[in-house]
Amino acid sequence: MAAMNRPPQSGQNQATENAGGDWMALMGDANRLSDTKLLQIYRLLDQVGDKPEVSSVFAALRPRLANLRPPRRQTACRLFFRPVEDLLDDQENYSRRLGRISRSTLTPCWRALKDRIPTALQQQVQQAVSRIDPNDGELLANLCDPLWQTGAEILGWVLAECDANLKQKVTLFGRDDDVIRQLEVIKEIVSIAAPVEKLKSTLPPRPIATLSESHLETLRKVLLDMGREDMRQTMPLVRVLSSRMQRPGDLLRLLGDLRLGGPPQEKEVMTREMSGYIVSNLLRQTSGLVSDSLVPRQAELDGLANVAERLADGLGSIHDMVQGMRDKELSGKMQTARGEVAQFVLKNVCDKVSTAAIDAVFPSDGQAADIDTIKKAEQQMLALRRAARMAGALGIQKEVSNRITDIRRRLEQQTNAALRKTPRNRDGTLSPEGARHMFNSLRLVEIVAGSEEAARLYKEWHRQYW
Amino acid sequence: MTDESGIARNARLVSGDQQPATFQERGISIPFTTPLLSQARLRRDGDNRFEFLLPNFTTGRGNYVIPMKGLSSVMTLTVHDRILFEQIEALESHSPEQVRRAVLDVQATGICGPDAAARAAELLELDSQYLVLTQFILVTELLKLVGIGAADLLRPEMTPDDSKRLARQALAKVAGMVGIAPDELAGRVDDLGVVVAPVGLSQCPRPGRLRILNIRLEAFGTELAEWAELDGSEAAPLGAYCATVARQTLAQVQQRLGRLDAACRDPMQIVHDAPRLRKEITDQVGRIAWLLDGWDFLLILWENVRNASPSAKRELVGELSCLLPAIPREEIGPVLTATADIETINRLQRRWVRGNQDMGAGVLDLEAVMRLEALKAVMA
Repeated sequence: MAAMNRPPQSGQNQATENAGGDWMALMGDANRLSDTKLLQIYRLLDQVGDKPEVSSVFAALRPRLANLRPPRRQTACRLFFRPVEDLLDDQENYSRRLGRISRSTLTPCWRALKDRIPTALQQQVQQAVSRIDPNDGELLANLCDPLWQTGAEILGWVLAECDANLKQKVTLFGRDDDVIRQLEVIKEIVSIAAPVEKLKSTLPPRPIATLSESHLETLRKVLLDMGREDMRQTMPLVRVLSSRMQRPGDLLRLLGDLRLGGPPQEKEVMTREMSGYIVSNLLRQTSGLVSDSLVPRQAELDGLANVAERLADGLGSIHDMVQGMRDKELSGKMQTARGEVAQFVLKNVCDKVSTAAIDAVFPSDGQAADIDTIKKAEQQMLALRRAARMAGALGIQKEVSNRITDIRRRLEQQTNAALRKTPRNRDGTLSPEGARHMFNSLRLVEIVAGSEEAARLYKEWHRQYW
Repeated sequence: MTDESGIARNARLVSGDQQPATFQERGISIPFTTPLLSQARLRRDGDNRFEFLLPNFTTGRGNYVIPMKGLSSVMTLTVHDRILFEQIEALESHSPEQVRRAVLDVQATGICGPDAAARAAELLELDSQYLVLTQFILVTELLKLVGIGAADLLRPEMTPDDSKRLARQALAKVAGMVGIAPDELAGRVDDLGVVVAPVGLSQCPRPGRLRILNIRLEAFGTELAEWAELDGSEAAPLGAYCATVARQTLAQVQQRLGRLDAACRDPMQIVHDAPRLRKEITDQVGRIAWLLDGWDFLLILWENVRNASPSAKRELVGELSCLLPAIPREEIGPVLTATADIETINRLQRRWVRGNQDMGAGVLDLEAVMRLEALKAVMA
């Protein structure tokens, strides 16, 4: 980091090399830094602006930033791309032809637009947004709408220019046609950005698990209003929303029940297209599990189980629909995806739950464990419980169930040993230390094996030791 | 397992818009951790058996009433809730204060997580410290009768033993004035302290727990009223409704506090008419506890979304409006909110409350359980 504040002392190349080394070191350290330090670095990097090496560091910091959620400087660039943020993938996780957008496309896109969108408009929007409550999505959408409308229109012209002029296309965006496809997606979504952002601010935060009647009604109304004008306009909206939902299949079902404008065949085609998008997007995420590249490397065990559960839930939500489509290839892909999630769960959750974490809850000095130790054990039990919840759908009930039994037995053994060893009160009743052991253990059993099992043990231990 | 049809067989649905006749009919809110039981209200049925009102089950369509005995057969209960049932059943009488003590005792075991346990231990310790402070204030009030003030007991050159000795001598003098034994007077002070401590004395430098809750409720009422004025959505009338109920509750609490403070102002009553004073204090403190019962949970929910998005606030306001502790008719006449009629409120509640995710899932939703446990870790 020192190089960031230090002016280059020798030749430019030497300085660049040093700085490059520092960036690499920073990326490597991203997971070891304290939250405060990480946020300090984030604020500094945010001032540096749009540089390729900074983008790589941001990519390394992003998983933790997503949890810490530091306030972001609302630049015109960020505001412009806000409506597409649910479709963004880091460069290394990006898959072509899925309607997703690589973050690396945003820089050339904004470079092409920045000087064409009037500076006064950019500044005006930026200033107006800086004065409002950042949580007020509706107001933000109203303020940003002129930027989005103008930007989308200009992006349309730029794309038309590129279509007519290969040299212009190569200069602005390189030779890859996929970049142009991504820009088309950006244009489509930004064109309808205001209703998209207003709707997002009305719905629960992502990942959306359930919707209330008012949410569904708003959703239906927006889809119907858009569909009445042009059925195809709803596609980008559904694409954004499905990326925010834990069970995207639910959205497809809602779409299926709606009577949008236009001929029924068109709707059928559209539903099929959207189904393909949702399925492919889920498949993309599950295939990333193999290399673990989509999963934060330092994530807690429960975090890993959470990722797997979200994917399993998403796959479950589209299962019936894919079956109904009678598409053998897609069904096969679904099967593979399920297998990959199952392997991920067995390898990264079940195998990693350690008996050491349980043993730590029963220190050898007979004292009750501290809060951090108990929480650590809880996290492991939670991960296993999640695994159990999805085991049926993934076909790994036996493996998960065996692991749970091992863990529960270990807990029982350790508790019995601790309760026998702990000195009792003078009147023969269980001492406060003993009671603490018993309740800590019951809680862990409840998490991993369920309330009925924990209640059974409570009765047994109460009778035996209380 | 959570079985909707089982609940339907064992329970009856009552309209949520009926104002209860008494506090006993309204029931005591209990911070259970089973999501469907969250903020269930405990009361006795016509045969003096326990039953629960489940406000968190029907998403604004009224309350299910279910016997306590039948509960475990229709839904999976957390171990915390099973133990809490046992404790509640074992209580001799069931006031909000007694139930709160049982809740904290169970929570302190660690069965609903280490954070909640630490908070319960902290609250129990604070209660006991506040009791000592209240009893000390009562003693100083009595000593004023013989011309000794708190400053005389706490002079810098005095050791704690000197202070105690002086207090005992002075109390004996007060007891002698009315011809009772010093120990009996000390017993009266201890007893009155226990009765008044949940609210605390107005002379006390630190407000008592229920006074603090009252202050928080006042802030909540103001905030909700402002929010309802500024929010243009359909949830705004629900916010206004919450603010109205909060203000009505505050008005009642304020009246009771006035009477309590007036009763405790004259220390002569402790020596001359202790039974009457005790009855008056018990009545006022009991009513205040009943009036404020259930609000702490709602205030914590609101405090959690204070900085959240407008949609999160709207959704929560919908949820809060279903859980509001209604003021019974014995305390206040029939209440009709001026902001919207009950039917409108019910219709809006149905629109703004999300279905309980636990429902129909067949197993306990552990994430929802842990969210409730997290609330217990910050309860007051």
